[in-house]
Amino acid sequence: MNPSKTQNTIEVENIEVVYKLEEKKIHAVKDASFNVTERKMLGIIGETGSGKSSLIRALNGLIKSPGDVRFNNLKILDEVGTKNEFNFNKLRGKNVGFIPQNPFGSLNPVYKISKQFNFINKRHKIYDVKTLPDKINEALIDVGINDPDRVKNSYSFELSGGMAQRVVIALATFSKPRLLFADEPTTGLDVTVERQLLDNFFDFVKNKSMTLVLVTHDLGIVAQYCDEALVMYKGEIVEKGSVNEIFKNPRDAYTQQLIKASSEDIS
Amino acid sequence: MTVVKLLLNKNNIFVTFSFFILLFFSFGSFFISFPHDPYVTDIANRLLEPNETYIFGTDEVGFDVFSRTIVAGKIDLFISLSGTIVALIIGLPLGLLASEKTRRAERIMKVLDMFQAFPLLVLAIVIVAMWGNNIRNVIFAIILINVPRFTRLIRSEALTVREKRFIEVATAMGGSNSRIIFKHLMPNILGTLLAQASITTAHSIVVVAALSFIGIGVVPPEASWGSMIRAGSQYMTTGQWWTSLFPGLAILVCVLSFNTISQFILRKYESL
Repeated sequence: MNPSKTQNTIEVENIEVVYKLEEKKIHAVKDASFNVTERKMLGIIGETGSGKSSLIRALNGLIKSPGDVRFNNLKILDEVGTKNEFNFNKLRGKNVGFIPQNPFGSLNPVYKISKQFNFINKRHKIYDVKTLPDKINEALIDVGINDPDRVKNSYSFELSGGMAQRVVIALATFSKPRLLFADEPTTGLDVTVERQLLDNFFDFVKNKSMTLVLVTHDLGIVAQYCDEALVMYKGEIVEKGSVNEIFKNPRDAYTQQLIKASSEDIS
Repeated sequence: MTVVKLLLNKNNIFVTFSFFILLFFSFGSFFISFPHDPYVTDIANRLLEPNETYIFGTDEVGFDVFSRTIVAGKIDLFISLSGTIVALIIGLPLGLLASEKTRRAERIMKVLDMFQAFPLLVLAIVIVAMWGNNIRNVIFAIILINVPRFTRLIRSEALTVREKRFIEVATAMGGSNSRIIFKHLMPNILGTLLAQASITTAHSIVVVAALSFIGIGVVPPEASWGSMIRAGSQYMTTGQWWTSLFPGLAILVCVLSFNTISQFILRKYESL
């Protein structure tokens, strides 16, 4: 490995995700390889069931899969399920963030929101305990919550869907991670809030040298914000490259179809 | 504090009532000065109908039914409660372990299957018959009956919670395995667990009564609802109903109280 390589780079090689359903094997992700460098946003596009979520969960070590994921030249996936898993665990939640789909399921219903921030802080010792309440408020305001004190003292089931989604995002970005995996982070939010959050992400990526991997089915978001894109179809990466290239000059038949469909949608 | 607040709430009047009934049967006998000693027989006054001096009447050997009904609660509730609590303490880690997707988990479930293939009440009788007829062995039998139940319940609950997205998120946030079990898994199954513990205690009361009804476990002169019902059962046909009725009512009231509390806990946790 070349040590002079740029920081905060994620390299992915030959990821496979296979689900076993009794006798049948379902190949959710086939041989995925790509890399993203610092200050870049990668958009993963694809229809439902194309393996986007499986891929991002495998990258985060939530599904055990063969393959090689390196972050800053540190092997991530290899550590999962081995004695070294502890090292990756220290990284997760601190340097590597993850925004899951479904916001309600993602918040533990027995704890208040502030407690869940405390957990992360306690685990990774990010901020001083004295400044913690202010930091939580800041994080919540950052995601467009105007009354952080109320939200902080609520349980997840007392929040609306959009609110919970924003709290999940605030939790994932609380530690200002270097690498963020986001699985449809803005689905179901108002367009204005969606804009605000994506602008925030964009700001993080460009000014705080974060690397973002964004899974979405919204081509518009990818076209507007991402630098690179990756199109998945039936578990395979059918096209990857810079956004300009893909949108102007799609080579794969499925990508052409996808872009055509979404431009018809707009007009 | 929150418990006190809940008990004082007007909507929970039945729960408060149940709570105090159980308190009364558990500890009442320490504070009440009985007009007749529950452990002293009075042959001259045997099989008296309920009257002013003996408000629940007397039984075949002249024991005062009233004082014995209350004293029996102390022992019966102690056996069923302590048996349930110990079973819970053993069953909780077992159930959590069994909810993992490992070989160890499969083995635990196999052993439980073996256990549950026996009729458990018969097993309890065998244990007490083999190891001696004392209260400790009755408690042991109660534990043995209840551990498989708790383990199964906790396993199935933990399996559902493990699939929840927030467990995955906790992993993604760097939570260690033990942390996820104690901070995320356990609090989410606590409600069901407490509710089940309450019902199990109620069931244990019936088991203890059944055991002492067939003369196992608590033996006279020590008082127990089961043995009192047995002693009175021979006289039911000849019209002396009071010797069996009052301990039977005590069992009914205690079981109902535990069920009410269990319902209440479940309702509280489901509204969360």
